[in-house]
Amino acid sequence: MILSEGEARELGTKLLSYSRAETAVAEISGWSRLNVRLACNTVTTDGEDEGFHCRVESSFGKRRGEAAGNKADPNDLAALVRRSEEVARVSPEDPEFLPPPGAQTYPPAKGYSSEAARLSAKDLAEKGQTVLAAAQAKRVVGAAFLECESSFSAYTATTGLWVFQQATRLQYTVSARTRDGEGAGWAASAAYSPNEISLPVLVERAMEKALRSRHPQPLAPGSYTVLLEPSAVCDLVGMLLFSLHARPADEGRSFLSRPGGKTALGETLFSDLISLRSDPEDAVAPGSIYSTDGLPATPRVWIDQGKLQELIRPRFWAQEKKAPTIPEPTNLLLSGSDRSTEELIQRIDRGVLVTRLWYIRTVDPRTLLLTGLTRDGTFWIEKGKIAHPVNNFRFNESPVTLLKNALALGKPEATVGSEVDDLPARVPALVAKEFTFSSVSQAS
Amino acid sequence: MSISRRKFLQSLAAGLLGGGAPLAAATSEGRSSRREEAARLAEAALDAARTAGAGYADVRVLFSESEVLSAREERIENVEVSASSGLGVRVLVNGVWGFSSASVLDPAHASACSRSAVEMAKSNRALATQRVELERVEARIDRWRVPIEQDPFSIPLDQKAEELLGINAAARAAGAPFCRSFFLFVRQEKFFASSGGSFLEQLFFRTYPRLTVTATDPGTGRFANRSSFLPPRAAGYEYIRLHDWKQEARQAAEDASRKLKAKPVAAGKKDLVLHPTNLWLTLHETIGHSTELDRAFGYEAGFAGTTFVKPADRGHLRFASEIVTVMADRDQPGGLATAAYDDDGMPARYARFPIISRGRFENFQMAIGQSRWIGLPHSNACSFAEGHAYFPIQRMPNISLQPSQQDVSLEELIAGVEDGVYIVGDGSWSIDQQRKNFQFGGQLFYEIRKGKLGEMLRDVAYQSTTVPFWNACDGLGGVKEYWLGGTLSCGKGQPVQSAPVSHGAVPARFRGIQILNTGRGI
Repeated sequence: MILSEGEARELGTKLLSYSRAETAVAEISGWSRLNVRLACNTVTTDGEDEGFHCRVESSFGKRRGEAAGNKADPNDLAALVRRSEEVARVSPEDPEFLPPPGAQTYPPAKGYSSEAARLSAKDLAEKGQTVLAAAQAKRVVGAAFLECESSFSAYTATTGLWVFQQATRLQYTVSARTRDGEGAGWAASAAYSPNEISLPVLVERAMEKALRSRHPQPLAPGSYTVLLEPSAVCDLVGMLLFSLHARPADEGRSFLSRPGGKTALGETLFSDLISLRSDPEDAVAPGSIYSTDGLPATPRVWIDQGKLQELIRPRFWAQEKKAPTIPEPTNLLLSGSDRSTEELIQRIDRGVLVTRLWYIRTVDPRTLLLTGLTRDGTFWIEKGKIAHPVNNFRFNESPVTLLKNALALGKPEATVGSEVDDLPARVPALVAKEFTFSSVSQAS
Repeated sequence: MSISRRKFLQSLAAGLLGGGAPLAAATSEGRSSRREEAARLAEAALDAARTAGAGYADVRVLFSESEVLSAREERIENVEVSASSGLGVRVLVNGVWGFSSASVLDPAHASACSRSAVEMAKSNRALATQRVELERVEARIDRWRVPIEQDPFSIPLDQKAEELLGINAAARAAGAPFCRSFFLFVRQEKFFASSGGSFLEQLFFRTYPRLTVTATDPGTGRFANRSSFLPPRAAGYEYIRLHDWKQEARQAAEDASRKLKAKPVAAGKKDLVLHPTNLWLTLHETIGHSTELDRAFGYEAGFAGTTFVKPADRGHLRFASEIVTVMADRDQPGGLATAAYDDDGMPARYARFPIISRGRFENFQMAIGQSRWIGLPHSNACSFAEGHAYFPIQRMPNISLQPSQQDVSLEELIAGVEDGVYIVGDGSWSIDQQRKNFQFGGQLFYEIRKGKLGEMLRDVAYQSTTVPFWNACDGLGGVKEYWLGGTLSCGKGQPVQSAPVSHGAVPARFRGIQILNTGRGI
């Protein structure tokens, strides 16, 4: 269900008019999604979904309650408001409650494409043909997930806050396996506009990786120079970005905590090549224009040439610490260079190229140690060239160490990770020394 | 199909609908009205699907409610109630699936949804190089519900909030500076109707309580967490009421404090004794996912992955040592995958089968249309869809490690270890896309020396490969040690779907497993 700004505003105004609470907040959103999934060189599933979601938060003094539903009918919305008020009345006082912010100024929303919003099931089917035709031509087993979404979201409050945005998102994931099961390749990207994503490029990349990764040679686990392609970087840096929270750092329960109640804010933790930003107006991977509590998502530098510059700090904690409120980022932008992946490879004497990572989990929050595996194309680089495919690995490494050990960056591109897959991201390939592969994975 | 639907509506009117376990609230106006509404929607959807050209169709109408209460130290952070409903229609047109969903519940939208699903299938016909063929599923009209003692939604929210604050206060009084806790309750009414003539009504309850305590050492900057061991279950509020939460909170505070001073583990190959609060997750990842037939045939190659288990391995692969038997089921009390029918309308009795029998791999999990891939006549009721907007795919039933026939205690297993590690509770988990190489952590770690539990350890993980690991199992606890773990959020499919599933296990001993020391400097 897609509403225009006028329709959403009318709905939001009506919704808040039902409120008898001291303050009320409403978040409304709707979407229209299409998908088709391929595997084994055939279509497997598909789907169409039209949805609506509304969440209302009401407060009386410091008592607060939330109710959510998926119906846009006025009677249902009135019932939702009443339910949130009932919940608020029986909830204990929240000493950290703050009334919703007032009216804010937002950047213009950049993440909508009318062309993307018009894509139909037939259009997706045609794209599926591109994948199947290439799989047949290259004699590989193809798989793909092609998804398009058009959506709107709005945040409003009785304090006068109002923000609305429309967005589109196309996400294409292509996988290929050789018929003998020895080789596997993968490529994926996401974009708000069809002009920013090329399915044929992804198809070519995934199938070439599959064909090149057959018959991997054994390589022992150990500490290696790595070239992580953008998807792998997106996962590791994305998991770092969403760990940059001020409160646990201040409270002594974060890898950013320091003895004596201090934090790592202001420390140079990473290589000076590393600058990590978020900016809702990024031309390639624009983010939501609002964030936590409906606050504007403004451009922000989290890491500047290796120095930790900002931590996420919600309003209450900002007030406690007499420090600025820093809402969560809504996209992920990592600095880079003009170098292509091939140019990065040329600079490596001996190392491992990683296409993507898989099943990444936190092992130790004290060091942000993560474990996971390589997948769908792992290669040995020798004397500036890809020498041959190698077995997959399990890694145990912290993104803090990874970014400290960064040696070179490639050209940033829109990508998706295995774990960080719904945040608009533009990141480069990254070369780092001493990356810890702890055991061999025989999975192909 | 419409004749069956009309018969069904007539039987509703005559009050004849029955069968299965009785619904406690079946006579209530609300439930009866929902049943009638679901039947009307199903009839509209199935008629429209047939008219539009579907050879097979099924429809799921879902009414879901949830409550989440969370507390952080002395404050209630959040109280949120949620209600949603919708329907999803799946059609098969010339061997190609189509799926569409709607959240507006009226017959016109239901019909439109079916027509969209048929259009979707027709749009994708050119992509189909293989046609889906379905086995016949016996038509059923039935009702069932998860048996509970106390509806969690009948307990006042302020009472639940007080309970959470009491848990946090107990942890803090025991010396923990931080404690977060939450209660999650889900009630879901699911109606399934198919063009084969089935109309099934099932009522599910899920309850998940959890606390996490953090201890800190400001002098060194060290900190340690300890979470409760209680898993989510298909249960009512009695699941919370019958547990001594304050004692658990005190114990968690004490454990977290001890973890700060625990001894770093010495890495190397050691014997391992796993408590079922840890082993359930290892079982889920290594045996549960590796034995999914869609993975074996490459249907998850693009996302969740394939599996090292091949179709030809049925009846042959020495998956585990002879003492290991792993059973699937949908009838275990408290099991999150317990149901009378799966989301293909297959009766739960088909889901009771051995996956591993005395160490040998016996059978895969299958959804409708998959059994013919390996020459079997029907699926084994292993289908699930997260919600009305999701296409049903093959998902796990409850999958459990069977206890030893002997009355073996945890202490006896530990007594058989010269140099080893004992692990309690689940921690970090990761496994490769063919379910071979895995690495798991835990919550509490103890050294075992000469058959006795020793000091608490820290920085422990174990890493192995599925088949060698299960073949290294040489001791299992008896039935008295059996414990049912589980998760609400097992992910699979694209778009990714969460599934609730339980896994029973007993303490188990494994010989010569690689233990890692995960301590690092950054």
